[in-house]
Amino acid sequence: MRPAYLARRNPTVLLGLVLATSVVTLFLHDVPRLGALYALLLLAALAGARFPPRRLALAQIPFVLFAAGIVVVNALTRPAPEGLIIGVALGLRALAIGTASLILARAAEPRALMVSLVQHARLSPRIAYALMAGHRMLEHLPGRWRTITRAHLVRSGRERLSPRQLGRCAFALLVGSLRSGERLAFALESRGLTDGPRTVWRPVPLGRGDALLVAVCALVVAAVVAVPA
Amino acid sequence: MIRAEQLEIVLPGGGGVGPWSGSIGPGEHVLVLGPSGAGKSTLLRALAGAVPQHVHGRVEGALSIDGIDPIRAGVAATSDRVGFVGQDPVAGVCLSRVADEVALPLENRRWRPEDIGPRVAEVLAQVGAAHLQERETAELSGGELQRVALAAALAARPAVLLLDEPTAMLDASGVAAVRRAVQGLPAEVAVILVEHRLDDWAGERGLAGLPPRTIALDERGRVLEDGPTAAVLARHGPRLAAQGCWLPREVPLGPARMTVRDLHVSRGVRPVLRGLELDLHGGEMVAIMGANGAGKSTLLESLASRSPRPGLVLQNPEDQFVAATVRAELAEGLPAGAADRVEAMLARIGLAEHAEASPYRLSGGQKRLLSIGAMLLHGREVLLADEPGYGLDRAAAVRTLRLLRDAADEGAAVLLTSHDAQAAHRWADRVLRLEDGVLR
Repeated sequence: MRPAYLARRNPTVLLGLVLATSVVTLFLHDVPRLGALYALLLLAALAGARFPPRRLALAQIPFVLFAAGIVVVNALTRPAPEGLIIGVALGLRALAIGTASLILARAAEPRALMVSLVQHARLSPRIAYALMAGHRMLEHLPGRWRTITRAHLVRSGRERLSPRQLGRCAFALLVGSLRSGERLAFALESRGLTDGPRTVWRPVPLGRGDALLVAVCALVVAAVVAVPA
Repeated sequence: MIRAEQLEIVLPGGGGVGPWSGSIGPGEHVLVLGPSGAGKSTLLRALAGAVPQHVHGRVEGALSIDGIDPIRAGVAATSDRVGFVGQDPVAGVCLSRVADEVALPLENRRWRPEDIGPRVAEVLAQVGAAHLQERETAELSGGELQRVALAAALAARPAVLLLDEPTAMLDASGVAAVRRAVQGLPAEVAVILVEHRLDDWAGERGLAGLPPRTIALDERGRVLEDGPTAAVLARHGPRLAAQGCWLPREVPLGPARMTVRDLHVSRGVRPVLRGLELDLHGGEMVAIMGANGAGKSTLLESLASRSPRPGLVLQNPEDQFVAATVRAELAEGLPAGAADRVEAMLARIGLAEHAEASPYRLSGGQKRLLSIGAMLLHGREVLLADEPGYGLDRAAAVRTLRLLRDAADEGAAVLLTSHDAQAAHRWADRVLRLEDGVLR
């Protein structure tokens, strides 16, 4: 099956669109416009990034809680009914920005994002590849944590670890990660990684599809902003 | 290609490695050997340009690799000529896809994109990892990852490959895969290898499977010798072993205490031993296995009459008892001032409470311990034991074998016969089979 429409777009373009949309929401204060934007973003997540609806709903939970907090605080601290309206608007803004980031996280493959940032956004290759190596290390962290806590459990001879012991586990994890980080830095350098000029073997394409996406997004957002409430 | 003049790396703690002067030519394979803490990894890292950037320390003397000074140039610039593979496969592979990992050094060296794909496929095939090209590195085993790391180190065609315990975290098949990959390198690539698992690395070929040249370091990082591997191991093997280095099986742990050449023994008209050859070295325990009637006991009897006179423990300890009490049995034949040693041995073999008992009243295991203890007190250089674990329960057999193992670790040459393959392999340094009158 072909990847989703947004997954076939250039990740730097996606990142730019997410940032731009977030900036635009900062200038919107009314519930209908922000609500429309949020709905459009949800639609983009489902159709454009092929987010499974259940996964999308679950991923919304932290943003929904955050938004609810904003609504409650504003409703209680500002005079009614403006307080509630402002709260809902700010909450929708949080939901819109959150959903936009979810789309990016789902559609942009990490390697493609970094390579394209180096290609198209002049990100330093040292930083990009260090981030990629760090991302790989991050994937190992849960496994390392399980190993360390299991080892401490065996030594403690108890059913569960006390907070103090968990603290020691965290320390062990930190020390181990620092060590791995040093080794990774050495490994990257020993592959000849510098900030100097380099070639790219499998470049990330940037094409007409991306231009079209930018145009469509610009039009849609402009329409949302321009249509009278 | 590599030239070093009084190269010495001094670490902040005062330790370090060197000075080393020498050169390593194209295609030469060199083993660096030394106890842990000798600075083997530090030396390799210095050659890779990691001192002082990644390893705090100071470098003295001069170093040049193919015209590059790694100390000045740093890791990235040195990597044009030097590939490095470390011991941790997880931290040695940076990216999440195998092909990207191997392509990274080529991109960084500005290879033309159209040349990169073929080279990635070629170098992965060279290390036996062609099938891994499009895999995610997170899914790979240690042995597979290490081959990917090797491919990445070789991709840009370095002149020198540095291997810092590349097999430390691998199983036997992983070791074999990495070794095959290194042996299949282009002839002009020089290799410097730090490795503990020399037997695994050498494989079937024994010493011949190791790099032909060895630089041996002592525990303070000084160069003991830089020369042909066999000669270096012969001269410094015992010292390195005493400092805790793993050495190949063939390297004697101590001087030869007894040498047997072309031994022929017949029982009546039937030849039992036919041209048997054996070297027994101080510090080693050799187990001889073989079917009943293969001639194991004949061999022991024949060795027992040789010089230097070995200590001998027979299968049935009662055959050897000469005294009325356990204490007197131990003291038999010792000078008068040896009472302390007798008491110490009583405690060691756990018979202090039975010191005044008759040796014949002991249990089977105690009798065996007593006969071995009595033999050990004479401090013979060679100890022979005929089926020392025979007929004992497990605990007693373990105590008996441990006593003999300790004697070997204290410098004696111990030879025992055994029917118990498991015990033989667990306790002995070498297990030989007596078949058709010779040892195999």
